[in-house]
Amino acid sequence: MDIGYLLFNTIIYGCCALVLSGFFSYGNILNFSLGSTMMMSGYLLFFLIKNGFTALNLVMLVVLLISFFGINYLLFHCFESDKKREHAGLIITLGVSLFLENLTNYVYGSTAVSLPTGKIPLWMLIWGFFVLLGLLFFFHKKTFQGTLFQAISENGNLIRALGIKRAKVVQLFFAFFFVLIVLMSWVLLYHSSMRMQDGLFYMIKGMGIMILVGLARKEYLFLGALLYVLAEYLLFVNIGLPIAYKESLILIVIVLVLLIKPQGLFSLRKRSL
Amino acid sequence: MQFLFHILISWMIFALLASGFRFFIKLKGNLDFSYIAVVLFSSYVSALVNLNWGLGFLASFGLALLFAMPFTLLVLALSERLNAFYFSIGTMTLYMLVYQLAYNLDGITGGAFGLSGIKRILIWGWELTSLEAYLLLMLVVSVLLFGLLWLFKKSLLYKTLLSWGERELVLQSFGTPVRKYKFIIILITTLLAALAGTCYTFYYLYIDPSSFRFSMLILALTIVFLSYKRNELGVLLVAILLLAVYEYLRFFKLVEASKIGYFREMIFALLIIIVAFISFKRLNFWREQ
Repeated sequence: MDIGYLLFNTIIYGCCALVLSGFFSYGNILNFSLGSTMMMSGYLLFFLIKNGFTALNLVMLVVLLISFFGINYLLFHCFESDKKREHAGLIITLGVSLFLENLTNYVYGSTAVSLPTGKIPLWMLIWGFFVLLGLLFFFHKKTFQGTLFQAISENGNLIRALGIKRAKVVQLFFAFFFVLIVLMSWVLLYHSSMRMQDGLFYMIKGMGIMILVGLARKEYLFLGALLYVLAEYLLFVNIGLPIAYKESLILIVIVLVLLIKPQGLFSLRKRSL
Repeated sequence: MQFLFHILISWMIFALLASGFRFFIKLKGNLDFSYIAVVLFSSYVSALVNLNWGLGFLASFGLALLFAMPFTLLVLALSERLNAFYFSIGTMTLYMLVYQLAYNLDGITGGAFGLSGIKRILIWGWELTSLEAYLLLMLVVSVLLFGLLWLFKKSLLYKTLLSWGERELVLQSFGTPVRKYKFIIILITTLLAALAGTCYTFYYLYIDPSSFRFSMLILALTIVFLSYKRNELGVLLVAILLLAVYEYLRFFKLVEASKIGYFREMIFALLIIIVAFISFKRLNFWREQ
C-alpha cells in the first residue's frame, strides 16, 4: 500500500470538500466551478512558467479572478434570500464551470499539462498541508473572525439582523479558498498531470465527501476523504474492479447517502434536508 | 432545404425536451436534473431495441418508457427524503451517474464511440427514408403533445397539482394524497423525457454520451428560464430562437473550425449565467404565478 499516494489523494479530495463545504456553509452556494477553477489555474500556472507574463496569460488571469470573486460577489449582492441563492448559485456556477472549461480548451488546447516532478518532495508537500490546515483550524476556532464565520454558517439571518455585512465578511474567506485552490492546482501540476475535464471529477469527489460526512461537520472532512480513498484503493487496487468505474463510485455513494442518511455519516443529530 | 428541415426537426425535439423540464419546475418548484438522465437512458434504450430487435419508433418509445420507470421510483424516493436544493443535488448526481455509466458500460452502450446504424423505422418495418417524412412525424408528435399539455392545464388534476406549491405539509394535514400527486408529476415528466429521447435517437440515428453533456442541460435550462412565464407557444418561440443561434454559431467564420465547438459552448455558458441571474431575481420558482 503506497501511503504517500493515499495521503496525497486524501489531502486533495479533502481540500476540495473543505472549499465546497465552506462555500455552502458561509454562502449557501454549491460552487460547481471549483474543479474548472482549479484546472484553469493549473493551466495558467503552466503557461506562465513556460511563456511568462504575456498579454494572453494576463487576460486569462483576469478572467479567472472575475469568474471566482466577481460571480460570488454578485451572488451575494443580487440574492438576499438563501433559498434563491442556493438554486441560482448551482446554475450560475455550472455555467461558469462550462465557460472556464471551454475557454481554457479554446486558448490553451485540450492536451494534458504537467511540470517535471521531484522538485518538491511529496513528504514536504504533505506536511506543508497539515501545517496549513492546522493554521486554518486554529483561525476558525480561536480567533474572533473565525467565530464570526462559524456564526454566519449557523445563523446568517441573525448576523445580518445585527448589522454585520455578511457579504464582506465571507469574501475574505473566499479569498482564502482561492489561494487553497491555486495551491492544489500547483501541487497537481508538479505531482500529476492535469486535463480540463478532470476538474469536474475533483469537484464531484469533494461534493461526495462533503455529503458523506455531513454538511455541518467540517472537522471530519479529511477523515471522510481518507475513508473514501481507502475504499477506492480496496475496490480498484485490491479487488481489481475496472478503473473506468472509479468516477461512478463517488456518484453511487452520494445517491445512497442521500437516500439512506442525507444528514451525513458523522452528523450529530437528525437534520431534515 | 435539407438544412431547413434539420433546423425544424431539431427545434421540435428541443422544444419537447424543454417542455418536460419546465413541467416539473412549474408544478414542483424544484430543478429536476434527472430529467436529462431519463432522456439519455431512453435514447440508449430506443437505440438498442432498434439495433438488436429492429423495433420501430412507437415500440421503442413504449419500451423506453417502461425501462425508465425505475427512475420514476428513484426520483420519488429522493423527493420524499429531500427538499428543494438537496433534491436538485440528488437529481444532478443521478444525471452524472447515468452519463458516466454510458461511457463505462461500453459492451452495451458502445462507450465513447456510441451506437450507430439505427434505422428510422416507424412501425412494422415501414422505414422513414426522407427528412420530410420525419419532419411530418415530428409535427404530428409535437401537435399531439402540446395539444394534450394544453388540455391537461385545463383539467382539475392540473389545478390540484398547481395548488400544491410549497404547502406540502398543509395539504397532508388535509388528507390530500401528496405522494400520489408527486408520483403523477414525476410519471408525466418521465413520459415526456422518454419521448424526447426516442425522437432524438430516431432523428440523429447515432448517439454517444457526449450528445448529452452539460451543453444539452444548459440549452434546455435556458429555454425553460426564458419561457417560464409564457405558455407552450412561448416555449416553441424561445426554442426556435435559441436553436437558430446555436446552429448559426456552427458556421461562425471568425473562429477556427477546430475550435468552433468550444466557442459555441462558451457563448451558451455565458447566456445561461446571464439568464439565470435575471430569472432568479425576477421569478419566484416556488409558486406558480
